[in-house]
Amino acid sequence: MSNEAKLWTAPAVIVVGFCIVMLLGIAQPSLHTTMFTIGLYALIALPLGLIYGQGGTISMAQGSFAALGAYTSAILCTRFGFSPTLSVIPAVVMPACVAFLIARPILRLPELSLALVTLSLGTVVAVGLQRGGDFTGSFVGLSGAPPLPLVGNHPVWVATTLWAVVLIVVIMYSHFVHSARGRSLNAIRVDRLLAESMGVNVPFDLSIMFAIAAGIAGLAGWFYVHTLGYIAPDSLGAHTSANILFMVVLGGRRAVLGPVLGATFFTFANDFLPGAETHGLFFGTILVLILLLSPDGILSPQAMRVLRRLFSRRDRVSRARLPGTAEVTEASR
Amino acid sequence: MSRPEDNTLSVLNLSASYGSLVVCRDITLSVKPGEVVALIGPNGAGKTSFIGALCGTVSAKGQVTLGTSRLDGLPTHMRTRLGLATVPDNRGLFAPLTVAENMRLGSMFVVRQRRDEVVDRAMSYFPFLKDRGSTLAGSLSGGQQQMLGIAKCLAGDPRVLLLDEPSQGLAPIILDEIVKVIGELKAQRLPVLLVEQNYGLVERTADRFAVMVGGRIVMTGGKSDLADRDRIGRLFLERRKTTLH
Repeated sequence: MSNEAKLWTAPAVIVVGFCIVMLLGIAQPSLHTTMFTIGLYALIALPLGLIYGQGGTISMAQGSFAALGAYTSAILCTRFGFSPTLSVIPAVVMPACVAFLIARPILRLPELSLALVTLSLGTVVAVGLQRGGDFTGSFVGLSGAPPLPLVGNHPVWVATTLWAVVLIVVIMYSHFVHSARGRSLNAIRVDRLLAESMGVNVPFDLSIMFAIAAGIAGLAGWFYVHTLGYIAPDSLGAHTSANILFMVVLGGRRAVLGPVLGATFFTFANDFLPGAETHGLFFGTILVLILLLSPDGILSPQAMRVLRRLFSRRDRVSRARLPGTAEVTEASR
Repeated sequence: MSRPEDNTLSVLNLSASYGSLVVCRDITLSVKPGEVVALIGPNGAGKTSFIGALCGTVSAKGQVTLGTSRLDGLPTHMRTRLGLATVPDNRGLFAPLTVAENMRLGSMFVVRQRRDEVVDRAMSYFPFLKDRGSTLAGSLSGGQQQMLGIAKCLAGDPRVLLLDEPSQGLAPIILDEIVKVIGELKAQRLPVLLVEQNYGLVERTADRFAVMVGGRIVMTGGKSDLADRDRIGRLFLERRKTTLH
């Protein structure tokens, strides 16, 4: 596959998939809402795929950054009379700035410590929002956030707008991976010290990526609060961060479409599985199986190799069963 | 490599340390364009730490200058961007990435207009690399990895090349190849600092040499002085303690 084709495969898959599901939504309107949920998760998970899959830097704070964006926009709109069109900028900038400020000291930590620190960050944000009194709406949260500009609350338009943003992020991600910066991020994942000795400014590059990931999560938070009109401290918290990490690991952390596939699987499974207890059991089992069979997720070279082997074997078996095939094989000998 | 500016690497009174343990003390040397200077010494003499101090991965005091640029005090990535390229003793490759990806990483900070030209020139020293673009660097043989390590550094269009034990674990035939390439780099007027224990390689490539024992330079000389093997051998057997602050 040529480089140009590689760049546009993921966006094309997104467009085709989106169109198919939205058309199916004419018969089953709840699919439009499901598409919104998938898009929201995908928007939070994609930048995590970038910093974790490409940069090897884990973050368990994506949900909290989305909450920061959602709260920033909700507070500005409900307390200070901002319009959502204007509040989108602080909703993105606020989590990005917080992420950039904390990135430098924490990003030098090893993977497990970094996961714990970012998870704790989520707890700090949640407690801050709960104890914020009237300003943050305390435990109850904030309601009355105005609907999205131009598209309002119409499920089809809301989903279309959100997926347009997801598509832009996917295009940027695909191009980034093949750029010099993308390569330097890959170098950081493989060997930080060596990357530095190749001229990569590791702390700065990671901080910028961490901030961009947080900013995009903030944008997802903005979509969330202006679609539902409500946000509470536990709406997008530590559990969302954990789910987002699950989606990235499941879908494929190295593949551009991995987080989107993970978000799709997670949302549909959530919709179809009965009872909360079965969720934990099902997702836990799936995670263990994936980590054992294909540590880089479903969209990974290992998984593709297994699938290819499986299909070629089935192909061979079906060809052997075809009348005449045996004679041909015999004759060719 | 072909830049007109002065690419002399000058080191003045450089001391390197790990915490309170001083591993190199008051090292002064220079490498001029078109010159190969070898730093030799027994195991534990502080040669690799000295390379680390030049790159900025080991804390150091003293002055390091490349042409007119002061490198001391700068972070590692800035020193590399200013033209200091190092092939470490472990070859410095991204083993899970392909040969082509390694070369692309090496040329990351070369201006776009010159990138292809510089990469082509770097690969021309080791023609086998052209057919191995999609091979994982980690699956190459030791000698091929060493060549890729050098090519990757050359793809960054360096102003000075530091080679840390390039002969380590290599067959004599590969060593001949390395000697040939060092000769070509010398002809291109690239300053090369060679840290080596293989006396044969030093004799075949170096214009000047310095012997490091116990973190200090105890002898320097030109190509002809290398013939005094007995004296150099005695220095190798000398034991000097590294010092604590």
